[in-house]
Amino acid sequence: MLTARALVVLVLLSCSAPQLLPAQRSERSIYLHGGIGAAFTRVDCDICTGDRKLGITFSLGAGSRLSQKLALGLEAGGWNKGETDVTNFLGTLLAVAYWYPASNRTPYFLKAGIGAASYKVDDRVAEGEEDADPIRSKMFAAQLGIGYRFRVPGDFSLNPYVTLLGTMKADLEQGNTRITSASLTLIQLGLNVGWR
Amino acid sequence: MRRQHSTRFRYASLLAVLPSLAVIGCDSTSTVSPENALGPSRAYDIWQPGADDTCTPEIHNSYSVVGPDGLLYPTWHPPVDPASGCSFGHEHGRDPSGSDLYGEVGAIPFGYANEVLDSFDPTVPRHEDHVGHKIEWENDVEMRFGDDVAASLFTVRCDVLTKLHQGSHSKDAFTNNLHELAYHIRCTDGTELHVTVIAAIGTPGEFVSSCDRDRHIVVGSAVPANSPEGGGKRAIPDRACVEEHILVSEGEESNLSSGLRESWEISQSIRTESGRRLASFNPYFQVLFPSRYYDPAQPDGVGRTIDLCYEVEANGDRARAERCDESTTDGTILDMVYSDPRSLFNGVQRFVDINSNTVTNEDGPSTWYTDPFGKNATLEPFAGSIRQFIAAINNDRGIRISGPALGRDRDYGGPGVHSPN
Repeated sequence: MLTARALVVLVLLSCSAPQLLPAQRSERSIYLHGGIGAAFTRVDCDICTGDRKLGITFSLGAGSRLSQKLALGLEAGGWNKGETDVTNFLGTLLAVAYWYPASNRTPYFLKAGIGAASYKVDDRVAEGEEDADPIRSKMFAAQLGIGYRFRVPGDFSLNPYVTLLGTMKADLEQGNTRITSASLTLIQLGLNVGWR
Repeated sequence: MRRQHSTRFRYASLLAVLPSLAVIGCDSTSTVSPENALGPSRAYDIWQPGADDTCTPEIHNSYSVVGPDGLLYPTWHPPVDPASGCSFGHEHGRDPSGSDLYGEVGAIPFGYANEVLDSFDPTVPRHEDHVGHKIEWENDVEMRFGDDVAASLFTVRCDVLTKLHQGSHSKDAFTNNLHELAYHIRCTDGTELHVTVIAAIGTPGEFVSSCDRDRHIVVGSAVPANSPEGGGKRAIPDRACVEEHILVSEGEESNLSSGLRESWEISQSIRTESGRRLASFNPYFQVLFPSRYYDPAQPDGVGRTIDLCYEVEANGDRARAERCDESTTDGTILDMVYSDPRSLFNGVQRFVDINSNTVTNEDGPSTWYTDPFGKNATLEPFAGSIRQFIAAINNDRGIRISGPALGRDRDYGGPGVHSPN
């Protein structure tokens, strides 16, 4: 609830505050951001359901602005979906680049990242029930996204974004079971709060 | 399904028929019209109407199909002929024409594998009666996974069409473990089988008690005498099951599903000459309320279920079941025999547990020729071989995938249907 209130305050501030763009600050600086959102995730393989599952996401990132148009950083993200019998989790660690291609009047940005993804489906075991082996996979992942940067006072910004993450094909493993050539896609709508 | 045709076979048309037969493949049905069949199979024209049956053999024979060998076979028909309204007194399960596999499989020739067995080894004939051929199918069956985790992520759907000769009215299955099986399955994960075999179900000469699987009941010699041992088992109710679950004391209720339930549990594999497994499957065919149970006190070992509705043991135990009351109109019919169409112990309620289907034929090809038992698979046909289709895949991922029960709530009874059925 606290986070939600803070976001509302920041949004209201952003409507009245002058937009501060990368060009108005020193060119080299660090940045930090954290965000939440929602995402549909889908796993594909020859016997996968292919269902798109809607879960919550979160992310934390840090990096350096190399110029008024380019920033590089690292970003950790997660997606979680609880179901009746199982819990799905996807974690990502990506090297990301932000590009601010437009003029000061339209401060949108493009994002690209590559890195690793770890996917896990685990049993939600009731007491006395036998625990099934989790399904796990580790995959190479790539991400593309687009967002908009609303500047707010104090070197903060609010950044709504949409990203698409896809993985290379990899095995899903459960105990001795191996499902080959599985891949994963995640479409995310989120909002992060950035500093500097 | 019904084929109107002359029973005068045109043997002279063999040369005209052969090209068609060459492309029949593993499909159960050829494109040859019945008029051009090479002749009747042993299974053809063996049904004769009983006292309660109003159809003629000619009407019955009109439900026929030419098998892969060019011979004419009986096939599925409804319990009542829709054209004439006459009744056959028996049923063959679910109309296969509704199966999504029917376009490929066609009408299933009853007794084809039995016929081929004659060619494979003339010294071991095994022919089965007509009424025991039972079809079951279901489209788009959702398969089950071994645990919640796998079930949340994976899905496999299958079309299944199967036929087993499962007579539940006579002494045949007390000793005989060889029964014709047609098994067709196609799944979304690439699993596909079109197999016809003589399935060896359990041990010849004996069966296991349905209420105590550890109790093997040796009855006598099987036909043929050299019937091979099979995997699985034939679980059939015996007198001990009846006394434990059916004949009960005042205030108790007979437990028909425990005391009167047959389960023929198949463990079938298709193997090459070297013994390499190409495919395996293990469907369980179950019959509720059969007309027979094993009673060693009877001359032929066949106890009649309907008789239990009248039996009272010395201690007062008797059958206390609605099905008895309905059959005998609350005991007012005193002389009902097992073949009476009013008896509800006629084996019309059946279901099939599909269980697992494993294909390990990744090197292909998909067409194999096996002996009638599904063994000695080779790439070329041989005398007494059956053409089988096995998808060129390996679906053995180490994950446990099994099928549910098909037809659990279906009742194939109809007007005039009675034991023997």
